Amino acid sequence: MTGGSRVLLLPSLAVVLVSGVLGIQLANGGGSFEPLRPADPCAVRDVASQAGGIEGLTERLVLLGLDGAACRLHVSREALTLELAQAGTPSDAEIVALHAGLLDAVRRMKDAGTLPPASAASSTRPSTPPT
Amino acid sequence: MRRAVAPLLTLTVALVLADSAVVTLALPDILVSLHTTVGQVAWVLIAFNLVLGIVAVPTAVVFGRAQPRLLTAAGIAVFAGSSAWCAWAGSIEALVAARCLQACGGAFALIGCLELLVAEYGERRGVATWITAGVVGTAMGPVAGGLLTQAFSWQAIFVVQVPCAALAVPAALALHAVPELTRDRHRPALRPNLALALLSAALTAALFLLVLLLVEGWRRSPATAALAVSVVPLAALAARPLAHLLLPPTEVEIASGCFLIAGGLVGLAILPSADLAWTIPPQALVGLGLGLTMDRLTSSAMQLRLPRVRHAAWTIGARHLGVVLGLAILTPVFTANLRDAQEPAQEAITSLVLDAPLQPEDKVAVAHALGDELTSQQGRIPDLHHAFAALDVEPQARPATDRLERDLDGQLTRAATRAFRDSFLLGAGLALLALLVVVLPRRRVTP
Repeated sequence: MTGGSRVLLLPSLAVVLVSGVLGIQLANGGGSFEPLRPADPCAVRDVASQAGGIEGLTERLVLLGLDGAACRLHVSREALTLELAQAGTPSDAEIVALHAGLLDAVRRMKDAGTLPPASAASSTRPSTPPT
Repeated sequence: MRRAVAPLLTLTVALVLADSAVVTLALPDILVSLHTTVGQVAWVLIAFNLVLGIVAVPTAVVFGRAQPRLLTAAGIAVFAGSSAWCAWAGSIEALVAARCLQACGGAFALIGCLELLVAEYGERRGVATWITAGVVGTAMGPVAGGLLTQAFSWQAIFVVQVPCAALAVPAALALHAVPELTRDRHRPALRPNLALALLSAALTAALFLLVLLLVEGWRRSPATAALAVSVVPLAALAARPLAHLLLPPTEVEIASGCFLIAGGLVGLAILPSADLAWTIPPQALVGLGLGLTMDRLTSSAMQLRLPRVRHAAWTIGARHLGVVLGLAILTPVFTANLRDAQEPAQEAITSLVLDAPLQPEDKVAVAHALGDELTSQQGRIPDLHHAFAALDVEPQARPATDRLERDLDGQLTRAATRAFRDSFLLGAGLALLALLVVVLPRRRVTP
Protein backbone atom coordinates (compact mmCIF):
# COMPACT_ATOMS: atom_id res chain seq x y z
CA MET A 1 0.00 0.00 0.00
CA THR A 2 1.45 3.41 -0.99
CA GLY A 3 1.87 6.28 1.45
CA GLY A 4 -0.85 8.33 -0.27
CA SER A 5 -3.45 5.59 -0.13
CA ARG A 6 -2.58 4.90 3.51
CA VAL A 7 -3.37 8.53 4.28
CA LEU A 8 -6.55 8.72 2.22
CA LEU A 9 -8.26 5.33 2.60
CA LEU A 10 -9.53 5.55 6.20
CA PRO A 11 -10.74 9.21 5.99
CA SER A 12 -12.51 8.41 2.69
CA LEU A 13 -14.17 5.38 4.26
CA ALA A 14 -15.21 7.50 7.27
CA VAL A 15 -16.76 10.16 4.99
CA VAL A 16 -18.62 7.49 2.97
CA LEU A 17 -19.94 5.78 6.13
CA VAL A 18 -21.08 9.03 7.78
CA SER A 19 -22.65 10.36 4.55
CA GLY A 20 -24.39 7.03 3.97
CA VAL A 21 -25.88 6.82 7.47
CA LEU A 22 -26.97 10.48 7.59
CA GLY A 23 -28.30 10.35 4.00
CA ILE A 24 -30.46 7.28 4.71
CA GLN A 25 -31.75 8.82 7.95
CA LEU A 26 -32.66 12.12 6.26
CA ALA A 27 -34.34 10.27 3.36
CA ASN A 28 -36.52 8.45 5.91
CA GLY A 29 -37.68 11.55 7.73
CA GLY A 30 -34.73 12.10 10.07
CA GLY A 31 -34.86 15.57 11.59
CA SER A 32 -38.64 15.83 11.31
CA PHE A 33 -39.56 13.25 13.98
CA GLU A 34 -41.34 15.80 16.13
CA PRO A 35 -44.66 16.11 17.96
CA LEU A 36 -47.79 16.90 15.97
CA ARG A 37 -48.02 20.62 15.22
CA PRO A 38 -51.38 22.26 16.07
CA ALA A 39 -53.50 23.01 13.01
CA ASP A 40 -54.34 26.59 11.99
CA PRO A 41 -57.57 27.38 13.93
CA CYS A 42 -58.61 29.88 11.23
CA ALA A 43 -58.66 27.18 8.54
CA VAL A 44 -62.04 25.50 8.06
CA ARG A 45 -62.09 21.94 9.34
CA ASP A 46 -64.78 19.30 9.59
CA VAL A 47 -65.72 18.18 13.08
CA ALA A 48 -67.56 15.01 13.96
CA SER A 49 -68.96 13.51 17.13
CA GLN A 50 -69.48 9.91 18.18
CA ALA A 51 -72.52 10.99 20.19
CA GLY A 52 -75.97 11.63 18.77
CA GLY A 53 -78.68 14.07 19.85
CA ILE A 54 -78.02 17.12 21.96
CA GLU A 55 -74.64 15.79 23.22
CA GLY A 56 -73.27 15.36 19.72
CA LEU A 57 -74.62 18.76 18.69
CA THR A 58 -73.02 20.41 21.74
CA GLU A 59 -69.66 18.73 21.09
CA ARG A 60 -69.58 19.88 17.45
CA LEU A 61 -70.56 23.40 18.51
CA VAL A 62 -67.87 23.53 21.18
CA LEU A 63 -65.17 22.22 18.83
CA LEU A 64 -66.08 24.73 16.10
CA GLY A 65 -66.48 27.48 18.70
CA LEU A 66 -63.01 26.74 20.10
CA ASP A 67 -61.55 27.07 16.60
CA GLY A 68 -63.27 30.42 16.10
CA ALA A 69 -62.20 31.75 19.51
CA ALA A 70 -58.59 30.58 19.04
CA CYS A 71 -58.51 32.21 15.59
CA ARG A 72 -59.65 35.52 17.10
CA LEU A 73 -57.08 35.30 19.91
CA HIS A 74 -54.27 34.31 17.45
CA VAL A 75 -53.45 31.16 19.41
CA SER A 76 -53.89 27.49 18.57
CA ARG A 77 -57.06 25.66 19.54
CA GLU A 78 -54.94 23.40 21.77
CA ALA A 79 -53.21 26.31 23.54
CA LEU A 80 -56.60 27.92 24.27
CA THR A 81 -58.02 24.62 25.58
CA LEU A 82 -55.04 24.16 27.92
CA GLU A 83 -55.27 27.78 29.03
CA LEU A 84 -59.00 27.41 29.82
CA ALA A 85 -58.39 24.09 31.60
CA GLN A 86 -55.43 25.26 33.68
CA ALA A 87 -56.27 28.89 34.50
CA GLY A 88 -58.89 29.62 37.18
CA THR A 89 -61.08 32.25 35.53
CA PRO A 90 -61.03 33.04 31.81
CA SER A 91 -60.02 36.57 30.86
CA ASP A 92 -62.49 39.07 29.34
CA ALA A 93 -60.81 38.69 25.94
CA GLU A 94 -61.24 34.91 26.13
CA ILE A 95 -64.93 35.24 27.08
CA VAL A 96 -65.63 37.62 24.18
CA ALA A 97 -63.68 35.41 21.75
CA LEU A 98 -65.49 32.27 22.93
CA HIS A 99 -68.88 33.96 22.59
CA ALA A 100 -68.07 35.14 19.08
CA GLY A 101 -66.60 31.76 18.19
CA LEU A 102 -69.72 29.93 19.32
CA LEU A 103 -71.94 32.28 17.32
CA ASP A 104 -69.75 31.62 14.26
CA ALA A 105 -70.11 27.90 14.91
CA VAL A 106 -73.89 28.15 15.04
CA ARG A 107 -73.88 30.15 11.80
CA ARG A 108 -71.59 27.65 10.10
CA MET A 109 -73.67 24.67 11.16
CA LYS A 110 -76.85 26.42 10.07
CA ASP A 111 -75.33 27.13 6.65
CA ALA A 112 -74.24 23.51 6.40
CA GLY A 113 -77.75 22.35 7.35
CA THR A 114 -76.44 20.36 10.34
CA LEU A 115 -78.35 22.36 12.94
CA PRO A 116 -81.73 20.97 14.05
CA PRO A 117 -84.64 23.25 12.93
CA ALA A 118 -85.47 24.47 16.46
CA SER A 119 -81.86 25.48 17.15
CA ALA A 120 -81.55 27.09 13.71
CA ALA A 121 -84.62 29.24 14.39
CA SER A 122 -83.40 30.34 17.83
CA SER A 123 -79.94 31.14 16.45
CA THR A 124 -81.40 33.94 14.35
CA ARG A 125 -82.46 35.85 17.50
CA PRO A 126 -80.00 38.53 18.64
CA SER A 127 -77.80 37.66 21.61
CA THR A 128 -75.51 39.59 23.95
CA PRO A 129 -72.20 38.36 25.32
CA PRO A 130 -72.26 37.27 28.99
CA THR A 131 -70.94 39.74 31.49
CA MET B 1 -2.63 -18.96 40.34
CA ARG B 2 0.40 -17.31 38.77
CA ARG B 3 -1.19 -17.41 35.28
CA ALA B 4 -4.32 -15.68 36.59
CA VAL B 5 -2.42 -12.73 38.05
CA ALA B 6 -2.18 -10.52 34.94
CA PRO B 7 -5.76 -11.27 33.73
CA LEU B 8 -7.07 -10.35 37.20
CA LEU B 9 -5.20 -7.05 37.11
CA THR B 10 -6.46 -6.41 33.55
CA LEU B 11 -10.01 -7.10 34.76
CA THR B 12 -9.48 -4.63 37.62
CA VAL B 13 -8.50 -1.88 35.13
CA ALA B 14 -11.64 -2.61 33.08
CA LEU B 15 -13.80 -2.64 36.24
CA VAL B 16 -12.51 0.71 37.51
CA LEU B 17 -12.97 2.40 34.15
CA ALA B 18 -16.37 0.75 33.62
CA ASP B 19 -17.42 2.38 36.89
CA SER B 20 -17.22 5.73 35.11
CA ALA B 21 -20.56 5.06 33.40
CA VAL B 22 -21.77 1.80 34.94
CA VAL B 23 -24.54 3.44 36.96
CA THR B 24 -26.00 5.36 34.00
CA LEU B 25 -28.85 2.88 33.45
CA ALA B 26 -29.37 2.42 37.18
CA LEU B 27 -29.94 6.12 37.93
CA PRO B 28 -33.78 5.96 37.61
CA ASP B 29 -33.86 2.98 40.04
CA ILE B 30 -31.48 4.72 42.49
CA LEU B 31 -33.67 7.84 42.28
CA VAL B 32 -36.71 5.87 43.44
CA SER B 33 -34.90 3.55 45.85
CA LEU B 34 -33.08 6.29 47.78
CA HIS B 35 -35.97 8.82 47.60
CA THR B 36 -33.78 11.52 46.10
CA THR B 37 -33.90 14.15 43.35
CA VAL B 38 -32.65 14.12 39.75
CA GLY B 39 -30.03 16.75 40.62
CA GLN B 40 -28.67 14.70 43.54
CA VAL B 41 -28.70 11.35 41.75
CA ALA B 42 -26.53 12.79 38.96
CA TRP B 43 -23.77 13.13 41.58
CA VAL B 44 -23.49 9.33 41.76
CA LEU B 45 -22.04 9.61 38.25
CA ILE B 46 -20.29 12.97 38.57
CA ALA B 47 -18.58 12.31 41.95
CA PHE B 48 -16.72 9.22 40.74
CA ASN B 49 -15.43 10.88 37.55
CA LEU B 50 -14.57 14.16 39.26
CA VAL B 51 -12.60 12.54 42.12
CA LEU B 52 -10.83 10.07 39.79
CA GLY B 53 -9.93 12.93 37.43
CA ILE B 54 -8.53 15.05 40.27
CA VAL B 55 -6.60 12.41 42.25
CA ALA B 56 -5.02 10.54 39.29
CA VAL B 57 -1.87 12.70 38.94
CA PRO B 58 -1.18 13.08 42.72
CA THR B 59 -1.58 9.28 43.00
CA ALA B 60 1.09 8.83 40.32
CA VAL B 61 3.43 11.07 42.34
CA VAL B 62 2.94 8.82 45.40
CA PHE B 63 3.75 5.75 43.25
CA GLY B 64 7.20 7.16 42.55
CA ARG B 65 8.03 6.88 46.26
CA ALA B 66 6.70 3.50 47.41
CA GLN B 67 6.37 -0.16 46.55
CA PRO B 68 3.86 -0.38 43.65
CA ARG B 69 2.51 -3.79 44.69
CA LEU B 70 1.60 -2.61 48.19
CA LEU B 71 -0.04 0.60 46.99
CA THR B 72 -1.85 -1.29 44.23
CA ALA B 73 -3.14 -3.96 46.62
CA ALA B 74 -4.24 -1.27 49.09
CA GLY B 75 -5.98 0.67 46.28
CA ILE B 76 -7.82 -2.42 45.01
CA ALA B 77 -8.84 -3.30 48.59
CA VAL B 78 -10.25 0.22 49.11
CA PHE B 79 -12.03 -0.06 45.75
CA ALA B 80 -13.56 -3.43 46.77
CA GLY B 81 -14.57 -2.16 50.22
CA SER B 82 -16.13 1.02 48.89
CA SER B 83 -17.97 -0.98 46.20
CA ALA B 84 -19.54 -2.99 49.03
CA TRP B 85 -20.39 0.29 50.82
CA CYS B 86 -22.06 1.56 47.58
CA ALA B 87 -24.21 -1.59 47.46
CA TRP B 88 -25.38 -1.17 51.04
CA ALA B 89 -25.67 2.65 51.07
CA GLY B 90 -29.01 3.63 52.59
CA SER B 91 -29.01 7.25 51.51
CA ILE B 92 -27.87 9.30 48.53
CA GLU B 93 -25.27 11.08 50.70
CA ALA B 94 -23.75 7.75 51.75
CA LEU B 95 -23.76 6.50 48.15
CA VAL B 96 -22.00 9.64 46.84
CA ALA B 97 -19.42 9.44 49.68
CA ALA B 98 -18.82 5.76 48.87
CA ARG B 99 -18.40 6.62 45.17
CA CYS B 100 -15.75 9.24 46.08
CA LEU B 101 -13.83 6.66 48.12
CA GLN B 102 -14.27 4.14 45.29
CA ALA B 103 -12.67 6.64 42.88
CA CYS B 104 -9.69 7.18 45.25
CA GLY B 105 -9.12 3.42 45.51
CA GLY B 106 -9.70 3.16 41.76
CA ALA B 107 -6.97 5.72 41.03
CA PHE B 108 -4.41 3.68 43.03
CA ALA B 109 -5.64 0.47 41.37
CA LEU B 110 -5.37 1.93 37.85
CA ILE B 111 -1.88 3.42 38.23
CA GLY B 112 -0.63 0.39 40.13
CA CYS B 113 -2.01 -2.12 37.62
CA LEU B 114 -0.11 -0.30 34.87
CA GLU B 115 3.16 -0.72 36.76
CA LEU B 116 2.47 -4.37 37.57
CA LEU B 117 1.34 -5.23 34.02
CA VAL B 118 4.53 -3.65 32.65
CA ALA B 119 6.55 -5.68 35.19
CA GLU B 120 4.75 -8.85 34.09
CA TYR B 121 4.46 -8.36 30.30
CA GLY B 122 7.20 -5.84 29.52
CA GLU B 123 6.79 -2.17 28.52
CA ARG B 124 5.08 -2.48 25.14
CA ARG B 125 2.64 -5.31 25.88
CA GLY B 126 1.97 -4.14 29.43
CA VAL B 127 0.99 -0.62 28.34
CA ALA B 128 -1.08 -1.96 25.40
CA THR B 129 -2.98 -4.37 27.71
CA TRP B 130 -3.65 -1.57 30.21
CA ILE B 131 -4.96 0.77 27.47
CA THR B 132 -7.14 -1.88 25.81
CA ALA B 133 -8.66 -2.95 29.15
CA GLY B 134 -9.53 0.70 29.81
CA VAL B 135 -11.23 1.20 26.44
CA VAL B 136 -13.20 -2.05 26.73
CA GLY B 137 -14.21 -1.21 30.32
CA THR B 138 -15.35 2.30 29.37
CA ALA B 139 -17.44 1.01 26.47
CA MET B 140 -18.90 -1.97 28.37
CA GLY B 141 -19.85 -0.05 31.55
CA PRO B 142 -23.39 1.04 30.62
CA VAL B 143 -24.18 -2.36 29.05
CA ALA B 144 -23.11 -4.32 32.13
CA GLY B 145 -24.83 -1.87 34.48
CA GLY B 146 -28.11 -2.06 32.54
CA LEU B 147 -28.19 -5.85 32.44
CA LEU B 148 -27.40 -6.20 36.16
CA THR B 149 -30.01 -3.58 37.10
CA GLN B 150 -32.67 -5.35 35.04
CA ALA B 151 -31.74 -8.87 36.18
CA PHE B 152 -31.27 -8.08 39.88
CA SER B 153 -31.14 -4.50 41.17
CA TRP B 154 -28.90 -1.43 41.05
CA GLN B 155 -27.03 -2.75 44.09
CA ALA B 156 -25.94 -5.79 42.03
CA ILE B 157 -23.69 -3.49 39.95
CA PHE B 158 -21.52 -2.91 43.00
CA VAL B 159 -21.91 -6.35 44.58
CA VAL B 160 -20.35 -8.15 41.57
CA GLN B 161 -17.32 -5.86 41.72
CA VAL B 162 -16.43 -6.92 45.26
CA PRO B 163 -15.24 -10.53 44.61
CA CYS B 164 -13.53 -9.57 41.33
CA ALA B 165 -11.57 -6.80 43.06
CA ALA B 166 -10.96 -8.90 46.19
CA LEU B 167 -9.31 -11.62 44.06
CA ALA B 168 -7.05 -8.99 42.49
CA VAL B 169 -5.57 -8.00 45.89
CA PRO B 170 -3.43 -11.16 46.29
CA ALA B 171 -2.70 -10.97 42.54
CA ALA B 172 -1.20 -7.51 43.01
CA LEU B 173 0.84 -8.69 46.00
CA ALA B 174 2.17 -11.63 43.99
CA LEU B 175 3.95 -9.40 41.45
CA HIS B 176 7.17 -7.55 42.01
CA ALA B 177 7.72 -4.15 40.48
CA VAL B 178 10.24 -1.54 41.44
CA PRO B 179 9.12 2.09 41.89
CA GLU B 180 9.76 4.18 38.80
CA LEU B 181 12.32 6.61 40.16
CA THR B 182 12.69 8.60 36.93
CA ARG B 183 12.40 12.34 37.50
CA ASP B 184 9.73 14.34 35.76
CA ARG B 185 11.51 14.58 32.40
CA HIS B 186 8.69 15.42 30.01
CA ARG B 187 5.79 17.80 30.10
CA PRO B 188 2.29 16.32 29.70
CA ALA B 189 1.31 15.84 26.05
CA LEU B 190 -1.17 18.67 25.58
CA ARG B 191 -2.85 17.72 22.30
CA PRO B 192 -3.61 14.04 22.99
CA ASN B 193 -4.82 14.81 26.51
CA LEU B 194 -6.99 17.70 25.34
CA ALA B 195 -8.42 15.54 22.54
CA LEU B 196 -9.03 12.73 25.08
CA ALA B 197 -10.93 15.14 27.34
CA LEU B 198 -13.07 16.47 24.46
CA LEU B 199 -13.81 13.01 23.09
CA SER B 200 -14.70 11.71 26.56
CA ALA B 201 -17.16 14.59 26.85
CA ALA B 202 -18.59 13.69 23.42
CA LEU B 203 -18.80 9.99 24.27
CA THR B 204 -20.64 10.90 27.47
CA ALA B 205 -23.24 12.40 25.16
CA ALA B 206 -23.38 9.21 23.14
CA LEU B 207 -23.67 6.75 26.01
CA PHE B 208 -25.29 8.74 28.84
CA LEU B 209 -27.86 10.57 26.72
CA LEU B 210 -28.68 7.57 24.54
CA VAL B 211 -29.47 5.30 27.51
CA LEU B 212 -31.50 8.13 29.04
CA LEU B 213 -33.43 8.53 25.77
CA LEU B 214 -34.09 4.79 25.54
CA VAL B 215 -35.15 4.29 29.18
CA GLU B 216 -36.88 7.58 30.03
CA GLY B 217 -37.93 8.82 26.59
CA TRP B 218 -38.83 5.61 24.79
CA ARG B 219 -39.81 3.63 27.93
CA ARG B 220 -37.52 0.69 27.13
CA SER B 221 -36.36 -1.59 29.94
CA PRO B 222 -32.77 -1.18 31.22
CA ALA B 223 -31.94 -4.61 29.73
CA THR B 224 -33.24 -3.61 26.29
CA ALA B 225 -31.33 -0.33 26.51
CA ALA B 226 -28.19 -2.20 27.61
CA LEU B 227 -28.45 -4.58 24.65
CA ALA B 228 -29.09 -1.66 22.29
CA VAL B 229 -26.01 0.28 23.42
CA SER B 230 -23.83 -2.85 23.21
CA VAL B 231 -23.43 -1.88 19.54
CA VAL B 232 -20.84 0.71 20.66
CA PRO B 233 -18.35 -1.73 22.28
CA LEU B 234 -18.90 -4.29 19.50
CA ALA B 235 -18.13 -1.71 16.81
CA ALA B 236 -15.14 -0.52 18.86
CA LEU B 237 -13.74 -4.06 18.69
CA ALA B 238 -14.09 -3.99 14.88
CA ALA B 239 -12.03 -0.79 14.66
CA ARG B 240 -8.67 -2.45 15.36
CA PRO B 241 -8.82 -5.00 12.46
CA LEU B 242 -9.93 -2.16 10.19
CA ALA B 243 -6.95 -0.04 11.20
CA HIS B 244 -4.61 -3.03 10.69
CA LEU B 245 -6.05 -3.52 7.22
CA LEU B 246 -5.74 0.09 6.08
CA LEU B 247 -2.57 0.99 8.06
CA PRO B 248 -3.24 4.73 8.36
CA PRO B 249 -0.75 7.06 10.08
CA THR B 250 -1.69 7.57 13.76
CA GLU B 251 -2.92 11.15 13.34
CA VAL B 252 -5.07 10.19 10.34
CA GLU B 253 -6.54 7.29 12.33
CA ILE B 254 -7.39 9.56 15.26
CA ALA B 255 -8.83 12.28 13.00
CA SER B 256 -11.00 9.72 11.16
CA GLY B 257 -12.19 8.38 14.53
CA CYS B 258 -13.16 11.87 15.72
CA PHE B 259 -15.10 12.42 12.47
CA LEU B 260 -16.91 9.07 12.87
CA ILE B 261 -17.91 9.93 16.46
CA ALA B 262 -19.18 13.37 15.34
CA GLY B 263 -21.11 11.75 12.45
CA GLY B 264 -22.62 9.13 14.76
CA LEU B 265 -23.78 11.79 17.21
CA VAL B 266 -25.40 13.80 14.39
CA GLY B 267 -27.10 10.55 13.37
CA LEU B 268 -28.46 10.12 16.90
CA ALA B 269 -29.72 13.72 16.77
CA ILE B 270 -31.79 13.08 13.60
CA LEU B 271 -33.36 9.68 14.24
CA PRO B 272 -36.29 9.11 11.85
CA SER B 273 -38.39 7.20 14.40
CA ALA B 274 -38.34 5.60 17.84
CA ASP B 275 -37.44 2.21 16.38
CA LEU B 276 -34.34 0.78 18.09
CA ALA B 277 -33.00 -0.35 14.70
CA TRP B 278 -32.43 3.29 13.71
CA THR B 279 -30.01 3.76 16.62
CA ILE B 280 -27.73 0.94 15.42
CA PRO B 281 -25.93 2.61 12.44
CA PRO B 282 -25.12 5.88 14.33
CA GLN B 283 -23.94 3.83 17.33
CA ALA B 284 -21.75 1.73 15.03
CA LEU B 285 -20.13 4.96 13.79
CA VAL B 286 -19.55 6.10 17.39
CA GLY B 287 -18.13 2.69 18.33
CA LEU B 288 -15.77 2.61 15.33
CA GLY B 289 -14.63 6.12 16.23
CA LEU B 290 -14.12 5.12 19.86
CA GLY B 291 -11.98 2.15 18.82
CA LEU B 292 -9.86 4.29 16.51
CA THR B 293 -9.28 7.16 18.92
CA MET B 294 -9.15 6.39 22.64
CA ASP B 295 -6.31 3.84 22.69
CA ARG B 296 -4.32 5.73 20.02
CA LEU B 297 -4.64 9.01 21.92
CA THR B 298 -3.70 7.34 25.22
CA SER B 299 -0.64 5.78 23.54
CA SER B 300 0.32 9.12 21.98
CA ALA B 301 0.04 10.87 25.36
CA MET B 302 2.31 8.27 27.01
CA GLN B 303 4.72 7.45 24.18
CA LEU B 304 8.38 8.16 25.00
CA ARG B 305 7.39 10.22 28.04
CA LEU B 306 8.80 9.61 31.48
CA PRO B 307 7.88 8.84 34.15
CA ARG B 308 5.34 6.50 32.59
CA VAL B 309 2.87 6.46 35.50
CA ARG B 310 2.73 10.26 35.62
CA HIS B 311 1.75 10.47 31.94
CA ALA B 312 -0.70 7.58 32.28
CA ALA B 313 -2.25 9.52 35.16
CA TRP B 314 -2.62 12.60 32.95
CA THR B 315 -4.63 10.50 30.46
CA ILE B 316 -6.88 9.22 33.28
CA GLY B 317 -7.35 12.78 34.54
CA ALA B 318 -8.13 14.07 31.02
CA ARG B 319 -10.66 11.32 30.32
CA HIS B 320 -12.56 11.60 33.57
CA LEU B 321 -12.56 15.36 33.79
CA GLY B 322 -13.76 15.22 30.16
CA VAL B 323 -16.73 13.12 31.30
CA VAL B 324 -17.49 15.71 34.01
CA LEU B 325 -17.15 18.49 31.40
CA GLY B 326 -19.56 16.61 29.12
CA LEU B 327 -22.10 16.21 31.93
CA ALA B 328 -21.67 19.85 32.99
CA ILE B 329 -22.28 21.14 29.44
CA LEU B 330 -24.89 18.69 28.25
CA THR B 331 -27.10 18.22 31.33
CA PRO B 332 -28.39 21.84 31.52
CA VAL B 333 -28.98 21.93 27.75
CA PHE B 334 -30.83 18.64 27.86
CA THR B 335 -32.95 19.50 30.91
CA ALA B 336 -33.86 22.92 29.44
CA ASN B 337 -34.86 21.25 26.15
CA LEU B 338 -36.91 18.69 28.03
CA ARG B 339 -38.72 21.54 29.82
CA ASP B 340 -39.31 23.33 26.49
CA ALA B 341 -40.67 20.10 25.00
CA GLN B 342 -43.55 20.03 27.48
CA GLU B 343 -45.63 22.67 25.69
CA PRO B 344 -45.63 21.13 22.19
CA ALA B 345 -46.18 17.70 23.76
CA GLN B 346 -49.17 18.94 25.78
CA GLU B 347 -50.62 20.64 22.70
CA ALA B 348 -50.21 17.48 20.62
CA ILE B 349 -51.91 15.44 23.37
CA THR B 350 -54.76 17.99 23.60
CA SER B 351 -55.23 17.88 19.84
CA LEU B 352 -55.51 14.08 19.79
CA VAL B 353 -57.92 14.01 22.77
CA LEU B 354 -60.18 16.71 21.23
CA ASP B 355 -60.39 14.82 17.93
CA ALA B 356 -60.55 11.31 19.43
CA PRO B 357 -63.45 9.13 18.23
CA LEU B 358 -64.91 8.89 21.77
CA GLN B 359 -68.15 9.88 23.44
CA PRO B 360 -67.95 13.43 24.86
CA GLU B 361 -68.14 12.20 28.48
CA ASP B 362 -65.29 9.74 27.79
CA LYS B 363 -63.17 12.57 26.36
CA VAL B 364 -63.77 14.59 29.52
CA ALA B 365 -62.84 11.57 31.68
CA VAL B 366 -59.64 11.02 29.63
CA ALA B 367 -58.75 14.72 29.91
CA HIS B 368 -59.22 14.66 33.71
CA ALA B 369 -57.15 11.49 34.11
CA LEU B 370 -54.37 12.82 31.88
CA GLY B 371 -54.34 16.16 33.69
CA ASP B 372 -53.92 14.42 37.07
CA GLU B 373 -51.16 12.15 35.71
CA LEU B 374 -49.25 15.00 34.06
CA THR B 375 -49.42 17.05 37.27
CA SER B 376 -48.14 14.15 39.41
CA GLN B 377 -45.17 13.48 37.10
CA GLN B 378 -43.87 17.04 36.81
CA GLY B 379 -40.22 17.18 35.72
CA ARG B 380 -40.22 13.70 34.16
CA ILE B 381 -41.42 12.35 30.83
CA PRO B 382 -44.89 11.16 31.90
CA ASP B 383 -46.07 7.56 31.72
CA LEU B 384 -49.71 7.84 30.63
CA HIS B 385 -50.54 4.18 31.15
CA HIS B 386 -51.81 4.73 34.74
CA ALA B 387 -54.28 7.33 33.48
CA PHE B 388 -55.73 4.94 30.89
CA ALA B 389 -55.65 1.91 33.20
CA ALA B 390 -57.75 3.78 35.79
CA LEU B 391 -60.23 5.00 33.16
CA ASP B 392 -63.86 3.91 33.62
CA VAL B 393 -65.31 3.67 30.09
CA GLU B 394 -67.82 1.43 28.34
CA PRO B 395 -66.29 -1.80 26.94
CA GLN B 396 -67.14 -0.73 23.37
CA ALA B 397 -65.06 2.43 23.85
CA ARG B 398 -61.95 0.44 24.89
CA PRO B 399 -60.49 -0.06 21.38
CA ALA B 400 -60.69 3.71 20.80
CA THR B 401 -59.07 4.54 24.17
CA ASP B 402 -56.35 1.93 23.53
CA ARG B 403 -55.63 3.53 20.14
CA LEU B 404 -55.62 6.98 21.76
CA GLU B 405 -53.13 5.76 24.41
CA ARG B 406 -50.82 4.46 21.67
CA ASP B 407 -51.08 7.73 19.74
CA LEU B 408 -50.39 9.82 22.85
CA ASP B 409 -47.38 7.66 23.73
CA GLY B 410 -46.19 8.23 20.18
CA GLN B 411 -46.44 12.01 20.66
CA LEU B 412 -44.49 11.82 23.94
CA THR B 413 -41.81 9.72 22.24
CA ARG B 414 -41.53 12.31 19.48
CA ALA B 415 -41.27 15.16 22.00
CA ALA B 416 -38.61 13.31 24.05
CA THR B 417 -36.56 12.46 20.95
CA ARG B 418 -36.72 16.08 19.85
CA ALA B 419 -35.63 17.21 23.33
CA PHE B 420 -32.37 15.19 23.06
CA ARG B 421 -31.44 16.61 19.64
CA ASP B 422 -29.47 19.68 20.74
CA SER B 423 -27.45 17.70 23.29
CA PHE B 424 -26.42 15.12 20.68
CA LEU B 425 -25.47 17.94 18.29
CA LEU B 426 -23.45 19.59 21.06
CA GLY B 427 -21.70 16.26 21.60
CA ALA B 428 -20.92 16.15 17.86
CA GLY B 429 -19.48 19.67 18.19
CA LEU B 430 -17.16 18.47 20.99
CA ALA B 431 -15.95 15.58 18.78
CA LEU B 432 -15.28 18.03 15.92
CA LEU B 433 -13.36 20.24 18.36
CA ALA B 434 -11.21 17.20 19.23
CA LEU B 435 -10.68 16.66 15.48
CA LEU B 436 -9.52 20.26 15.21
CA VAL B 437 -7.08 19.78 18.10
CA VAL B 438 -5.61 16.76 16.29
CA VAL B 439 -5.32 18.21 12.77
CA LEU B 440 -4.25 21.80 13.53
CA PRO B 441 -0.69 22.27 12.26
CA ARG B 442 2.01 22.21 14.92
CA ARG B 443 4.00 25.34 15.70
CA ARG B 444 7.42 25.11 14.06
CA VAL B 445 10.29 25.13 16.51
CA THR B 446 13.11 27.28 15.13
CA PRO B 447 16.61 26.23 16.15
